Amino acid sequence: MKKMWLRKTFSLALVAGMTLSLIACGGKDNSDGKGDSGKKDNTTDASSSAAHYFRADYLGDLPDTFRKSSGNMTMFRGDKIFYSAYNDDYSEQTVYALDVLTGENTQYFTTASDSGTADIYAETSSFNQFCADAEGNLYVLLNTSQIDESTIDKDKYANATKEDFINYIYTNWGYDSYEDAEKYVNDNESDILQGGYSYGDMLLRYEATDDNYIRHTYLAKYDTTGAETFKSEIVMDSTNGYCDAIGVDDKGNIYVAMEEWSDDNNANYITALDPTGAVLGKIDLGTDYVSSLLTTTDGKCAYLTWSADGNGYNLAPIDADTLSIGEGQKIGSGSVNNAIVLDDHTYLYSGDSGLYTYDTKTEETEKYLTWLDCNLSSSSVSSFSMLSDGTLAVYVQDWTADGSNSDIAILTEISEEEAKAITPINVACFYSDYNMENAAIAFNKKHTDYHINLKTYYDWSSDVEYQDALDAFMTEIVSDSSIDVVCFNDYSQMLNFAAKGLLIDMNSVLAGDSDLSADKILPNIINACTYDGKLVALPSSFSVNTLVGKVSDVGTEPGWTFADMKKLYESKEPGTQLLSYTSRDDAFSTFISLGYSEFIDLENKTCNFNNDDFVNVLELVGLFPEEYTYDEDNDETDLMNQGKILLYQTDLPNFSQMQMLATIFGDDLTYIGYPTSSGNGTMMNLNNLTGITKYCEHTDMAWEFLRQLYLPSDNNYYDASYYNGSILISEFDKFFADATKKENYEGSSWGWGNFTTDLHAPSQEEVDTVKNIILDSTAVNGAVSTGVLNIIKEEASAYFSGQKTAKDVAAIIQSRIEIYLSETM
Amino acid sequence: MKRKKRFPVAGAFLAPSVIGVLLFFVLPFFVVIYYSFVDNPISLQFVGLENYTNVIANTAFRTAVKNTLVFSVIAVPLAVILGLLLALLLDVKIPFRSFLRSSFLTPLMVPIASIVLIFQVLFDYNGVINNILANWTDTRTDWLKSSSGIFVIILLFLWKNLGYNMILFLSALGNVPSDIVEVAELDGAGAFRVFWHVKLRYLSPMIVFTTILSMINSFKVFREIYLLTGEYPFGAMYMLQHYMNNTFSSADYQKLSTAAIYMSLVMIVIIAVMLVVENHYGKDMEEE
Repeated sequence: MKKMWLRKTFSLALVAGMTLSLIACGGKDNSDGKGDSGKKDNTTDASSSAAHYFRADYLGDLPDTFRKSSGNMTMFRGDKIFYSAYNDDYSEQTVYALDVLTGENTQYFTTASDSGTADIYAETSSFNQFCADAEGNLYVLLNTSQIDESTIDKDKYANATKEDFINYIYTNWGYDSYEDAEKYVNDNESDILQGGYSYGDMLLRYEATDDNYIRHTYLAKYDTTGAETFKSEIVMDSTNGYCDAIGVDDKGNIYVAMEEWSDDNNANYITALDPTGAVLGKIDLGTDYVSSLLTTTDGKCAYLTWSADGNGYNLAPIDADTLSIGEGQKIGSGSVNNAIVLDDHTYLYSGDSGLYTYDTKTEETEKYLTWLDCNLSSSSVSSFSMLSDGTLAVYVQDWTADGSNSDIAILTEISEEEAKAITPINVACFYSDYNMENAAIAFNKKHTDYHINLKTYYDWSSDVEYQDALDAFMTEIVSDSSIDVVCFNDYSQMLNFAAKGLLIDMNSVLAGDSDLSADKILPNIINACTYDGKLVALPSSFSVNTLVGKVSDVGTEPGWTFADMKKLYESKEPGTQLLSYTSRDDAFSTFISLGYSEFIDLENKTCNFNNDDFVNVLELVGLFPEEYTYDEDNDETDLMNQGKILLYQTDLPNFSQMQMLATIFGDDLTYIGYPTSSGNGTMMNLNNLTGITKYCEHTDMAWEFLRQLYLPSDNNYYDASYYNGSILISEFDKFFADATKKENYEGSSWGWGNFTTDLHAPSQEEVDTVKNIILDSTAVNGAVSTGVLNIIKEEASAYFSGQKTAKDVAAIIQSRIEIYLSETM
Repeated sequence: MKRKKRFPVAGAFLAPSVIGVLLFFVLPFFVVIYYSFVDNPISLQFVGLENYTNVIANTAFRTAVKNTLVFSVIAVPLAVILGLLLALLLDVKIPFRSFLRSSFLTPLMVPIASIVLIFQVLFDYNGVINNILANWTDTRTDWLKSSSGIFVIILLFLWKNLGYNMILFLSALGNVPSDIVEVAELDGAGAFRVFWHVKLRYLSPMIVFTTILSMINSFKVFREIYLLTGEYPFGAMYMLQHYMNNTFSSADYQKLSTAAIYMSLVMIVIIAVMLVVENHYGKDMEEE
């Protein structure tokens, strides 16, 4: 009976266990935020395991000195940020301390830069590192420099004239003519004679060598009143040295991390000084480069360095008593820009895109916050600290402003409920650029009820493989209904996404916009972004790429076929290159990516490889070398000039380059384009191609964000001189109207290789020709997916290796691509 | 009363299996049906039979159906007939009978990746077969990237499945009543007549079972072709499973679901016909 009872109990337990395990299979673990892809939370990074939400407030009303400060010369200590700033004429550099909580700004220390005095023999000093201790004392590493008068023939320079100076420049700076040197001196006279120097002073300065200078390096301490407490010399072994960081421990010992380099040796070491400034000795660090010096919770100073195994950063404590280094421990993964100590085993550090915590006990990294979520661009953040009131202070520099404009953002942690009250607009972006990030920040600063969550999938500096990131991006954009806006990685993705009917017709949002409408956008951009009668996306900017060749080679009319190209190539002597330094693989990728329209009809999902034209391509590409070797004896431009390179890939419009190329080729040029069955062969590159998904519940807000990318503003960084042009007709016309202005080119010249050309304003006819080429562009780069390209390249390799005939290969490609295309119908 | 008392216990024991079947078989089945009637798995807008008309009109799908049918029509009968012949051969006393039985089973033990590697070595453009044929002809056949590819796949399929079918038939042959065979032989029936009129009748359920099994396996030949030629093979080797795999990769779940429903319907019809035939033969045998 007892046995029966035991058996029943065991069986029931087994059943319960199995049932529970089944339930567990279907469950979602939301504890780490990974399980719920549809959740519209306020963190943009899926790897974020800690749900921290922050509100960013800028201090704004800060002293002018702070606004002009440089990001790489700042440090937080307690509630103060120590920073350095130059005065208006850059003759003085001063260190200040700004109390972030009270706003009190204290001047500590000022030094005259080498351009700050008219006395050429006066000692000048500069500093590149400083730090402060807990009491607010400042430690500065000073580099002084003074010309040793005893080594200089003063009479030689005393009466030097402007003509002597021009002659010096002409002789020593490689100018082609005396007139060019004279022009340089006249154009830059005010800069050359800054600070009251004479031409003799300038000559002396240019001719002086290291042997004529007396240089010293000192560590100086200044108390809170700015008075110098001590000044100790740091003796270096070589003349080339640099201070990487300064640190102070709780006992007042000071550590100066130096690196020195000479012809045969590089040395990293830390010089330790006691609280009175007496040098205790050097600690050799071998190959360890000191990234920064921190004070740990036990009061010791520790140095941060990239670990020898190449796997993250190490923090190693320094012992001033024994002048030795303790055992290092890893902190963080990936890049660690700067770090603060939270407790005896947790560090908070800034990484690629935000702040991370690292627990040395569990060796786990957690993302604490993403800069973008706090309306901060990662490129604008340089240092941070946790203030005594628990908020985070971040030093930010706004590079879009005229010059730089520094500010402090205070990040206050808010509750999850408070964060969820803000409606997120989720933007999936394979990788985000400067324009996209700034548009998000600008939108978020303007709107308190909505927040752009910019989720990026790939970062050049991260460890994530490109293909893995692409797979994650593609999977999420088609399966995550919380995504409101998608910024596509290439044009084929947009076509694919549009074919699934997942994008709204942007004409509907354009109709309600007072500044933008479809007829204000370039027609070829509208056509390229129209799928099945709907405007499914818009790029923030675009550029046009084409091939250029001599009229005598390619004729006068744009547009040709692969047969024409092959005919040209075959008509030339052996050794002639069609494109400079292009391997067979590169040529094939380029021709197929950019000349695909001759073989693939993307609209009707058909292909036509099984013909003589494609055989021509294979045979043409087969003529390219498998690997190219650089011609060390001849410059690329010489080969173009000699007719040994026939074509050049270039972006339009670039009037300066067009004039340069005309000089190099020594002939009139035709922008012949890539081989194509129709059109002019130019290829459009659409940047930040972005559309609104049909799941977006707040299309008005999504459009409010996107329109910033299209409208001209300070946030849009267009290099309109030659690429990344606006898609607006008004901006496009304005560019071409400005192109003929003589003042833009007057006196300018461009040198390339052994050729120089004096630039001039293009004629109206030249401008119109280029303008029409761009307006006639229809083909878009990236229309062919990598899947198609891979099939073509895979099969073509059999032809290039001589295993199969071009016709056999073409037949196989036709069969495989046909399947590929018809699948997507 | 006793049965009622035992129901909760029985139910508890059955629960894991029932939940598992519901969760992993029944529920996905209905999800697939549901997906085939909506525009996509996110917006879930009902589109009626639009997915069915789109898929049936899709050139890739039609190519896949044609190729799969051609493959199955050739490969399945061959797998059954050759399996049966091998079983008959190894059912009689011949030298090395045990060794041969084991030999035909070895492909089942070899991992599919290794089998594919062997076939690549054999049938590559520069492979063993072409090198041997080069002794007689200058023309090389691109076995894996031409219409000849289907024969390579049939060969691979047979090599992989013949042994298993043979074992099934051997077990069925062992169940043929020896007294009936002996009576037939005493009545002067030759080996062929014994086979045709006696053994084949007893083998009919196994023939139907083996055919269904081979047919299911023929629909699963995608794995081999995928490893041999990738997601987008030469047209003649593009099977239904390619279409489904690729639509899954591109997240066209509605196309995938619709194609799966089509495939299931065809399978149901074929299996139903075969069961009817088997039932008919079974009755026929019982009556005799």
